[in-house]
Amino acid sequence: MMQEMTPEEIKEKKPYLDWSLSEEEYDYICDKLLHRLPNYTETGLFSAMWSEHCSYKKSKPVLRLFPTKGPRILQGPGEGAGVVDIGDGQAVVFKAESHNHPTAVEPYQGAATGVGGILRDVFSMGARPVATLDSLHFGELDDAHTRWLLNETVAGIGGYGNCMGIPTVGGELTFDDIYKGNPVMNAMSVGLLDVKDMQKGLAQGEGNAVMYVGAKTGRDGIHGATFASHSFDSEHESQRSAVQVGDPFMEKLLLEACLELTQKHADWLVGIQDMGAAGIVSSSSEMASEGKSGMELNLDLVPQRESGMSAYEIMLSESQERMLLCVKKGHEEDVKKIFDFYDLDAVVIGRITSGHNYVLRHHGEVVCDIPVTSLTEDVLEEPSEEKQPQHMIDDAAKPAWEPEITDLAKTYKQMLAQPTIASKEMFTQTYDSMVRTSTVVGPGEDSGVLRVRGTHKGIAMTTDGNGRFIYLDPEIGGKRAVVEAASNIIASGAEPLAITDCLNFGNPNEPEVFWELHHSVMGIAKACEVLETPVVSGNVSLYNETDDKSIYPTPMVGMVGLVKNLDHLVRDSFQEAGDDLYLVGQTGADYAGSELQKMLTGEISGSLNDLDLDHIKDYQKRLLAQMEAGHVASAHDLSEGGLAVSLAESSFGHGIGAEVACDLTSAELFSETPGRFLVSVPSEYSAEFAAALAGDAVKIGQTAGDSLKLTLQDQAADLPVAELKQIWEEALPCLMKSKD
Amino acid sequence: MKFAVIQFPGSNCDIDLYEALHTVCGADVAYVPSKESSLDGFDAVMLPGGFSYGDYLRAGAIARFTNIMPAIVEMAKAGKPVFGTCNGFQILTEASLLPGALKRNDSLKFVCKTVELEVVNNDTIFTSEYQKGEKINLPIAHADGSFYADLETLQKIEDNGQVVFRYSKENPNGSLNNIAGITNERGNVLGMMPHPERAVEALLGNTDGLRLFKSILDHAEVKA
Repeated sequence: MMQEMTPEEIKEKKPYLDWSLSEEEYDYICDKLLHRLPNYTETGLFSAMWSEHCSYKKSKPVLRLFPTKGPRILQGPGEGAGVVDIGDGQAVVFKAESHNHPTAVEPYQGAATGVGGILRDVFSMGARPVATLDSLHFGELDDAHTRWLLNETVAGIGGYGNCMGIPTVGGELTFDDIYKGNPVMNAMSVGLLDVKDMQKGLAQGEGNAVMYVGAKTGRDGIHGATFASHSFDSEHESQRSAVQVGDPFMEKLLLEACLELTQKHADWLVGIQDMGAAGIVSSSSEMASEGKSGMELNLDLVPQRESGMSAYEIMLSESQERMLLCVKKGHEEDVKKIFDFYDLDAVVIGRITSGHNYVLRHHGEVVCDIPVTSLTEDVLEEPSEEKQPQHMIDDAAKPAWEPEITDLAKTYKQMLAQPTIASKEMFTQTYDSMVRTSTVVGPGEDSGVLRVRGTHKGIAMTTDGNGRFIYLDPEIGGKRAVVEAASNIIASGAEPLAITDCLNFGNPNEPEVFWELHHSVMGIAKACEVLETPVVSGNVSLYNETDDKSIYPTPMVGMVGLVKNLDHLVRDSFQEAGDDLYLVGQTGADYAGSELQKMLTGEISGSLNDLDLDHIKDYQKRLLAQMEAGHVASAHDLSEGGLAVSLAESSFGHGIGAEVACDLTSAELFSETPGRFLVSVPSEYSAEFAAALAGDAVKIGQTAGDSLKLTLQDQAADLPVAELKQIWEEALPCLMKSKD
Repeated sequence: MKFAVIQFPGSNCDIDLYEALHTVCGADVAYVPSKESSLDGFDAVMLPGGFSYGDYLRAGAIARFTNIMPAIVEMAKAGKPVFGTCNGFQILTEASLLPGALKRNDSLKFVCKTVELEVVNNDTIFTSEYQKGEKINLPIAHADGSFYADLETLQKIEDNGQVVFRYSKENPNGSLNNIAGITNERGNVLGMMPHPERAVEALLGNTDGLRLFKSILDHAEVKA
């Protein structure tokens, strides 16, 4: 075994610089927190706990902008997941997490453990995970490595979720060259909870036991947290050892054992937390910190699957499928019996102590003795410089791009074949979307919808990110991301409740990147305030860049909504011929960052038009009221590709076409003004609907026949639904088969 | 009639079967962990879908060695209804309660979708509520669903009328003779890859699987 450096050698050779701890931070720890030099193990613990991934030291000042409170919010950010009251003593529990770096290096395991980790966050709250969603942004499919990355990522998400028996009911997948070296893989888990069973990551009560449950600890994933807080360079292939390996079967056992404990024997338990990033050290120190307790652990008792592990390795391992419990003294054997039934380890590895120190023993020696809060609360926040991106200033000076569409039918068909637009069924059908028989709406619609057993309510959920808009204007783009998510939720007839987020950005030490982070959070926060959807959980993923090129700033908004009565659930497909078609919301010249712009020019540019959030909220409420009154046959949110794509998608479900005659131009058919809907209304409710949405909805035609007959201001077209559907369905399978 | 839904470590469609029987059909049903060794008091046994033992080694290969299996074999020998869907089917073939084996799908991928089936044999305790030759739609969700048997066995199960369901439009996994579900020779053990328990409620968009459970319950009534 390698001899560990002495504290003096550490001071001199500065190995912590490779672990993302700065010299300033190291000096602060020595001089202000410990008043001595930290040893090797302690230095390792500091470097992991002070990483951005664990401490949010860069992003914290910005995250404070988020509204986090509301009448339904039972738990906001800071715990395993956010908790939102849905009535009848029940709550919905959700969070999203990014696993971009592991996915870039080892896509199957990176994606699988991304799903595994977010599931543990949700069941650590005492909730049963009931659905998974993802948000994927990859490079263009003309690259064989990207196709491999995507195939493996999808296989990893499915491999883990299918085995766990948790349906994957929604998500998004978009393509842009900017993500080629650094794909975005975000996973969101949604759970249901009886409010009385809610748990927290808390350890307190002198003499209470710290119990380790689940899989054994190995050397995998050591320094995963700091790995995620670094940028990639071309050498990143060598960092595979920082990627963990998942075992969904083990996690399924862990889930059932933990739920048995939290649902039936919560009185034995003080707190519970997932061992996620930075493994034992983060879970134990955060739980002790939350309980304002001291803690002493004996690392010799930690179940290990490799011999000769050092204290440093045991503490920083990110082996999967492990949980840490704080159990009331006297109930250790009771807890062990539950885990024994599932053939899982459950071992007392330490106790809560009276002081405030975090003490670790290994081979009979004290290897760490530091204040608990030095790992959790004393982290130095890092002030950041920020500067408006030059491309925004340049773009503002240029005239806005105006699309020219000479052949409407050709452009329409070309649009449906764009990878970002085309059907994702070849991927989503490899996910079990129906297991546990509560899926009312699965992948492919605006939001996934699950019924809540024992009630006639449903929960709707969606993930939305649009890096292009946020790149062009972070603040307006941030607003648009929330409006887009809310529109998806409302299109299903659900009331938006709250959001979770994953903030995927480049290197925050670049002033332009930090500006993007700051301003997009401002936009998201503003929209969340107006739309009354607080932020209840989230995650930050920085340093998403390859060889100094950042990805688009890509915050992902995961929103959950409540369907009060599933009888009034609304689908996105036209239900019958002869219904009146309405376009809800004003259409403007919103082409900057649109799919049309990318398709016709190969790039995106321009300035975004700001949006009137109060106005959008007002008519969305009126629309929802019409849906809840049962007046709406179908509703589809307008997003990438605008009205053109929504019309086509709405016609695909039942092969019902439409006759549309309106004064939009063919370009406006593809405009991406946010907050709009395509709604079909049975003629008997049409007058009432039109009155309720007066000023914000315009009748554009009727559902009819088996083609889309369009009569626009400048052009007309007659497009057979079957032909359009074939183009839309075959585009991705065709691209994925390429042999290049 | 009392149903047992077996819970193997890694079963995950256990609740689907339980709710289909209990909540939708109003039947008497209880979970039985595979660590138990007795099925006393039960009249029928249901093996759910999922990933017993993580599909490690081979789907169903480890589950067949669990404590409960001898009791399931006894039920089968006694002529009581034994039903396995998806992983349950895989376990029944591994335990030799049904002939043949389930191989990896020929796409090599997990596939979850609704497929059309033909009810080939309605003269069983599981399918009496269906018409012979009737086309129904049921969901599938599996990676190892390609039914295989040697030619002699295949001929035998065809000749005996043991093929109960066949994929009638698209074969999603490459199974021989488009087989989706088979019984044992006696007809009291049914294994099928599709999930009838996922198609019992209009709210979830499909009720084509409901009659399978009604058939078993009818059979019990006739007997009683």
